[in-house]
Amino acid sequence: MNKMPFSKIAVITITAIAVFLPIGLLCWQSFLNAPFFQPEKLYGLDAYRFIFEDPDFKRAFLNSLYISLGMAFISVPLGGLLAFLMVRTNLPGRSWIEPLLLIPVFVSPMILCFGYTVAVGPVGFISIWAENILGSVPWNIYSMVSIVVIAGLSHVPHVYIYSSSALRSLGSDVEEAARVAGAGPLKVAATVSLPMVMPAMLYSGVLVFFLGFQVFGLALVLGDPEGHLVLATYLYKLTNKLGIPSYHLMAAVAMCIVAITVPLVLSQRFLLRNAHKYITLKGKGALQRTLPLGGWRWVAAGAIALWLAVTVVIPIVGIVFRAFVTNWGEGVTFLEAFTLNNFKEVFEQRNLMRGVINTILLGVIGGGLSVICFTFIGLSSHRKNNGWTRLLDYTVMTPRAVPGLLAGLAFLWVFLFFPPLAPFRKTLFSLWLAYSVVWLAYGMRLVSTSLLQVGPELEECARVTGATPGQVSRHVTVPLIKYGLLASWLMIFMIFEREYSTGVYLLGPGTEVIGSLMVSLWGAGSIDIISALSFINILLVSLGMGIALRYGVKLHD
Amino acid sequence: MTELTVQDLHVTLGKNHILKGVSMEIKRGEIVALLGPSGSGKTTLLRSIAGLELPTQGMIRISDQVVYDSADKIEVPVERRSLGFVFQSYALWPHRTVFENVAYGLKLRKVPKEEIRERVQEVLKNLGLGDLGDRFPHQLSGGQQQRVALARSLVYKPQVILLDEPLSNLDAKLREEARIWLRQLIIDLNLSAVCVTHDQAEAMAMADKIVLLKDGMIEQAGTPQQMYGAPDSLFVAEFMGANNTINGLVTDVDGDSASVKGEGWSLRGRLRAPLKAGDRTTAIVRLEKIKLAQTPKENSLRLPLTASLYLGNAWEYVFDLSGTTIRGYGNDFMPPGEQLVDIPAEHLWLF
Repeated sequence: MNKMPFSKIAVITITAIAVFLPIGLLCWQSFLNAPFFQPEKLYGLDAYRFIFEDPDFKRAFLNSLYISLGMAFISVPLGGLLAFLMVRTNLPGRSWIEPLLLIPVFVSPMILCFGYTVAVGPVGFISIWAENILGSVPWNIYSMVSIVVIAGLSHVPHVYIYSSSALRSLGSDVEEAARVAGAGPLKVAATVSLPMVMPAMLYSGVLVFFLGFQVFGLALVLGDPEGHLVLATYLYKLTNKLGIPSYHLMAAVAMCIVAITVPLVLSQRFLLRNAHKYITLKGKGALQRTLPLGGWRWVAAGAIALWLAVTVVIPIVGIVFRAFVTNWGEGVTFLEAFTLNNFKEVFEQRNLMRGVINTILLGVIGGGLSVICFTFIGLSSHRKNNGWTRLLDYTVMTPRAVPGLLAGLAFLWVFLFFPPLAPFRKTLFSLWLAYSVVWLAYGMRLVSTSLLQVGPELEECARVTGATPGQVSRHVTVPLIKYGLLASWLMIFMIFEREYSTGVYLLGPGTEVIGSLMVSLWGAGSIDIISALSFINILLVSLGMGIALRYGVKLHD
Repeated sequence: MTELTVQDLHVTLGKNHILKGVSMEIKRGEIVALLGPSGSGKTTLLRSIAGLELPTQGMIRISDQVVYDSADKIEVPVERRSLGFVFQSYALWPHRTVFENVAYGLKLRKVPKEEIRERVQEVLKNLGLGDLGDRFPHQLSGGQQQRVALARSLVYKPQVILLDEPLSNLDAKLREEARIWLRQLIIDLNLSAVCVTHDQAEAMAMADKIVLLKDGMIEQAGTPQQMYGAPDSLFVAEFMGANNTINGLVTDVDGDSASVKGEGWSLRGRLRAPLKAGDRTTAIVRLEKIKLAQTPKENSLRLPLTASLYLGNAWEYVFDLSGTTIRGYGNDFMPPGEQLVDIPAEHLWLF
């Protein structure tokens, strides 16, 4: 229609800088033999040579690969099955199972793993109970197999989210047409339903596969005791390993992770084009009839209950329980051990208290600011298709390939490197910027879903009536997506409460958040305080989920 | 006085060349209907005039202001063209009341508050929406929504109003009433109007002039009488009305009249294309021109009646002309059998 206004170009340019500058810095640093801010440095491949010769790196890479493959093989079939049961069958209790399914998405994996440690770890209360009955503990939560299984089970919801939305948009009319044409129910499933949701399944398969390479908290908590490293924990431990901060090595590991995830994210983009290939009918066309399961519905419900017990109930109950006891072991009863001291300690230690307050501030105010930024970014490419919007597309997509831990590291360096930004390093602004960039793709998805629901003629009509593009945004577009933006704010709040890895390298006096505090406290082994912090964090996320459920905010699409 | 001029307009959307050189003029107070099948470019033409699509070539002038000229690189943005536009879906802003919807254009033009109140009330009253100002769009019926959309585009007194299928969302009965009412309103306000429609009956009822588009070019433009009664091409003849189509061979040509012959029949018709003896031709005659005859005339045929269909206000007869179906109307039921059918020579057009 018209040329791209300068303001929109500016928004896109700033976004691109915020995303690509930190990554560029990582990349540059990885080819240096000394920290980038030192005057004497040489270009070279020393960093890569070092890590490729390090047997620990090789083991970490293989472990990451096992976790990724395991996650894909466990979560894709289970997530697909779960979606089918939830969307297409008369499974009992679907409406209250749905929010429970999403808990692993909104509760930090750190917390879930702490929960596993205290519940089913070697001296966990379930382990002790099992030992009393069986004589020994029949599982080892710290083994590689346990790590893979837990990673797989906790990513079932990610697959569920994509598969269920694909299944929902698939109307039963296409299945009924196949039935009328003479296909039996199994034939229909094999030749119509399954092929139609296949692209979405494949998409989520690639998603969990690259999420596998980004696993950090889970491997940090469960992999530590027996020394199972993955790529992200290898990076985190590099400093300890050499005793000095080795910037070029960290950057080289970071680049290796990015080199694996970027192609996967790009391939997802290609798959997404196919994922929507079949989704043509929406609304009335997609009326669905549920498949009666008969007696099997109770079997299915039991299986889901078991999955929920293992993935949600055991760890959450474990960590909540631990938050209220002084210690736990043989012969200790709950009433003797009951205490509120863990919380008292959190409220008394100034850095912990600051962490709690910062987490809330970052979620509420930071989340709101992020949504405002995402809205500006969304509006800058709204109903446009040119070189700038394509640049923005790739900009928004890129952070998906960068795990929070790396993004935090990169932002730390940006704040060190650029003198004008240096004063902000020890403020919440640095964290907020890193969080916003890490969750850019997620936030933009929320905002653009709302934006796309605005009929183009509502905006065009305002233009014809005499409004400038800016006035159209202010008077028509934004007021129309007001509720969508409020819902996005809530979702971003929950995601920011959950986030733990992005703050790890940015942690300092003034920038404490619950997530990064837990990572650093884990190193010191203070499980009492960690449990109390976890409990507070779970409360905050539950608050968000409660509001979402109360006001009918969709937790996924 | 010319109110709107479009010259050699080309529009490309993506890889599709939608408009391939369209020129037209609209005089003050004239209602022009853009007619054509779907994909002919009529909506694109309307949107280009409004500035919602960017042409690749050509010129558009509204009153004295050139709003688009590819040669001089002029492109006036949508909001400064001061046009009225009624969208097919009405595009009422759901978050604003009827009053606020209508008042928006005046607010943007910085009209004083008191005057806005008066002018909005006046236009709402004129359109029979007087006491609905506080309602939200979803609380209105389809007909009321359409009038609010119209009120919103009229309130700031544009010289030209563009209507994109304004009646297509109304049910059939309401639509016929609305087109009379809409035409009268535009005439009363002495506006120039361009109206997109795919319904030729609507176009003829509403417009002073019809522009028929086909594949991004103007096939024919003229008054409804010219378009219906003297089509220049087979496409126009077929688009404008309900026809009988007969294929035959031209046997002899005499001025603008010719004889056409088929299997076991021969008729005289009017040439509407340069044909000569021996050419294949498609003969077109409007359904309502087919009459039953009592006595044989120059252009009557004895044809078997295969069915009589009751339409309520008339009977439709279906005849068979050596495999071709010929349809016509009459007032009475006729039993199947041979009938004498009159096909007036001046209404049988040969293309």
